[in-house]
Amino acid sequence: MMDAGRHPLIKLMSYSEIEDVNGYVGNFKVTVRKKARYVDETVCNSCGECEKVCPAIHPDEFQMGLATRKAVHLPFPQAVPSAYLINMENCLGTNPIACGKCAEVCEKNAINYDMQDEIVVLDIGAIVVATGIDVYDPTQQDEYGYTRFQNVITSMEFERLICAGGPTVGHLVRPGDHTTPLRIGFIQCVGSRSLRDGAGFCSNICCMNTVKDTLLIRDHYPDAECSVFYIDIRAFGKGFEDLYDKSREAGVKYIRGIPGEITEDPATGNLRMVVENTTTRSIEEHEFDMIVLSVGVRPRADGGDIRRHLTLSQTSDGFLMEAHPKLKPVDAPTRGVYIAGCAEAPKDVKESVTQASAAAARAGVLLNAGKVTVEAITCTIDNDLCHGCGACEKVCPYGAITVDKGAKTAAVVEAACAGCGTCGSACRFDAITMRHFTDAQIVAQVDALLAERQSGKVIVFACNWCSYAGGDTAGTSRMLYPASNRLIRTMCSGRISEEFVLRAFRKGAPIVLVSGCHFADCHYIDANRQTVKRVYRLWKQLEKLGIRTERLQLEWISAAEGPKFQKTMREMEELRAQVTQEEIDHTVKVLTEQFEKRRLKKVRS
Amino acid sequence: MEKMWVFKCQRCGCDYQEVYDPKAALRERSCPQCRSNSVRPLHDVDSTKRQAKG
Ligand SMILES: [Zn+2]
Repeated sequence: MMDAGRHPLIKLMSYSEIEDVNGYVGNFKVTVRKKARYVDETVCNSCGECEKVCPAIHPDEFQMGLATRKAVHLPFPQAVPSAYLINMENCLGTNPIACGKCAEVCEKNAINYDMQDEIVVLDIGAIVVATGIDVYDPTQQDEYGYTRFQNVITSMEFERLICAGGPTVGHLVRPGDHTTPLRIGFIQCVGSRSLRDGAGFCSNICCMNTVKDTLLIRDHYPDAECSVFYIDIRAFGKGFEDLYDKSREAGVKYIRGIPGEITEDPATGNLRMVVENTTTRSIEEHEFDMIVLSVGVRPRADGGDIRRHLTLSQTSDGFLMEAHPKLKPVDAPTRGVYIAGCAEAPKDVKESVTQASAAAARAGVLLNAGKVTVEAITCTIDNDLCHGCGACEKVCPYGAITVDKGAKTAAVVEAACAGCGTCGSACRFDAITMRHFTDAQIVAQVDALLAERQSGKVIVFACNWCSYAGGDTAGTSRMLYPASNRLIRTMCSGRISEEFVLRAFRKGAPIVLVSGCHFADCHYIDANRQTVKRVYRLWKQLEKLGIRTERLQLEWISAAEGPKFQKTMREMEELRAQVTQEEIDHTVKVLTEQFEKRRLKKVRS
Repeated sequence: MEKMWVFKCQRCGCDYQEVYDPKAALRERSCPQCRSNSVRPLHDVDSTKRQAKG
């Protein structure tokens, strides 16, 4: 951090927030709100005289509320820049100035109560998102009595207590009576791997953090006994198993079982618990001086803002989604944006540093090249046909299209367009052409597949990344599926327009399946949400026309779901067999009439 | 606004109820009986009740 602060080519903007991001790869305009510190950071020499005289005392967030700070304070000892700031919510008041003591003692005249937030607009080529995580608050798990019992603390609070820079200068004391605890229990997976607590995922870092904590305790306090209650210990990294072995050799007891409840002896402040040891299959009672809840992590509560600004997508857990889990693990789906650290998923320091280095290198490669090569599948807009309705702009997941409603034109930034084709499907005026996935090309495939023996075929629209790849997985795994299923590949299911589906039915298809990526896997941020909306509209339309809605099917199949692909194809064949020739003939007739009507209307207008 | 809606599975034909808001962000849905994603929101439960009363 200090190296970054000193580096001549790194501009560090602490205590700042992103207000807005516009533009595209290589040409981002980032609006930053530099919050007022009320202390001139270029002048402050962090002598600390202001803090000494400040009368406003508040819990210190950095010390997890275990110590206090003043309204004017240094956020944490190694903060960069090493300059004080005033938290105005805590200050006694500046309008009119109620106290002013800090300004009086500041020899450098660094205090400025009139300082205002500053809005800075930066020209940025590439962006790395490393916004980190939140820590789970175990208060809601009332059975553990956190905040009810003083001697139940979280692993984060333990970290401050054992730290030399912490409120007790590294002396481990329990909060209840400030005595050194000699029987310490650790409960693992608090707020992790539990859907009841809103997180089915493993927080990744807690097991090894506890192993490290137990070793520290045994090292500093040889008389202290440690017991760890766990579901399973996940010691998967380099050297982790050795550390776990060392902890056990040091006498730390590892008990496989998670207690249901903690109770407190009000006289002593000691804590009791009953636990089922699933290794020995016995019920055990334990008493501790202090219990540490090994709390899990959560995606940042305010992560939605940065996601919106950068058009990023998230996994079902709420962490940021990478462009490809194996081949582009640090690239965000938006070109020119990279992800590092726990914003992507819970991970330890080493993994975070690895990912951050990779992200920086990726950004470096992009900036050094000075130009980007885009795949030749982006969209083009014919402004002679465009009505400036804005439908394309609304559905583009990348914000790559801008519409000029006055001039009735639209323009696409090709560097930002990823080629999902959602805009092409949304355009009612045929003004958008998707290169290599043009309407004419897709329609030709539909027509060719339904040129003969229509009643024996199922038209399957499959997206390139997931459902089509799921078909590949089924194929390479030798999973047989009925040959009646005929696939048409598009880059994204968002490309599948209502016209394509209706055309398939008009040409005699008994069943049409629209398939794409699972919501969390969409390779075009959230383009497949448009697919759902379209299918909903199509079901309504079919119903109105007296066509059985069951003949249009929707399925999300991932690249790994070969068996699901096979099962779905078999189900499609079953559905196909139920469609009679009369039904197909009726559909063809109804849709042909509708098509002719629309065509004539178009010609007349 | 989120309301309880009647969904119809287009694969197995079963009806079931689930919270849904046509104006909110969509989420992935599947039929509780056959796991198919071909599930169609028909109408909110209240409107069914109103229809039944009317
Ligand atoms: Zn079903």
